[in-house]
Amino acid sequence: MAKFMLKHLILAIVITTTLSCGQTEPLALYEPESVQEQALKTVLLDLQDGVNTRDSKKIENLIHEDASIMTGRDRKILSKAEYIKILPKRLADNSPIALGKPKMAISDDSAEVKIYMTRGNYNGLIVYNMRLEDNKWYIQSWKY
Amino acid sequence: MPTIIAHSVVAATAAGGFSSGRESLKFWILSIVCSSLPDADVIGYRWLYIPSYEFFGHRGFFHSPFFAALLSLLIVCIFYRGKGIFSKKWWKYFLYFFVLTASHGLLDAFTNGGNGIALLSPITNERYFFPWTPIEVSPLSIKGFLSQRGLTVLLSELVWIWVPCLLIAILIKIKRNGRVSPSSQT
Repeated sequence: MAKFMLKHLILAIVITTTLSCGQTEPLALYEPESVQEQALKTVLLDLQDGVNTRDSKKIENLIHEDASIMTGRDRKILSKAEYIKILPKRLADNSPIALGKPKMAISDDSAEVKIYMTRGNYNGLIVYNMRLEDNKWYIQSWKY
Repeated sequence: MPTIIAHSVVAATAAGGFSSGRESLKFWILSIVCSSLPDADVIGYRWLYIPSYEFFGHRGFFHSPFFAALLSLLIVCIFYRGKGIFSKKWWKYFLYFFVLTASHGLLDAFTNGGNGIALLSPITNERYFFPWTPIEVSPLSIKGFLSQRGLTVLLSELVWIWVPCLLIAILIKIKRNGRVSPSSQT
């Protein structure tokens, strides 16, 4: 019986380990299927770069004026103005991020981008809502 | 979530209390599966782009008592149909597997992070925590678990889950021995 249980325990550990690894393909390697997808990819690469170089101005330029931004473990929703105020401290406190392979749904002037983000030991799914204005994509909101 | 280890500890304690040593290996395996299965929704989160706040997201429908009832029904219908459907014994198994599966979401509601639990799903996808959340939330990834954070989580579970489970197991044993002793003296 012990052998049987051990076999199943090992199998469970292997399956759990595999499944918990999740998506690992980086955003940079993602091949967009349209011009709009390419534009969205560029915005997200800029966001990743802005976070990793702690360039709050760069991030600010990607966010729409009417944006609502989710922050922290308590998932508080902030306006752009509120978020920009705390952004430099957040960038200084948090480690770099790596964005993964996205899944995009585009309709006219809006888009939803689901993307895996790794930050230190954290790996989770972020959903970005984007808005097209004056031929430029902006981040309207994000949730996790 | 508490770790899969903590949910299994709860399952082992419950199984020990329920079985009085006469249950098969199948019963023990089903107990552990029931207590851990709700976390299978992490597959959707990690691989299928299902955000945790959606209906089938992590800590959503699969963590609800409603799902616990469905799973329990499925288990007793498949594995315990020989006990006679709706018989007293059948209900006993149904309730046992229901409580065990539902314990997963309830324990998660005592953790201090992540999304709340959709305890009233499918009626509402609203997420809930208990007002008191002493258990450290476990990282979803193995990498996260094998860090300092993992150790903190295990220590927290030791205090809030493992030790209480051990005490319950001891109490059950004492109660059983007390029940056996008078008859064994005759």
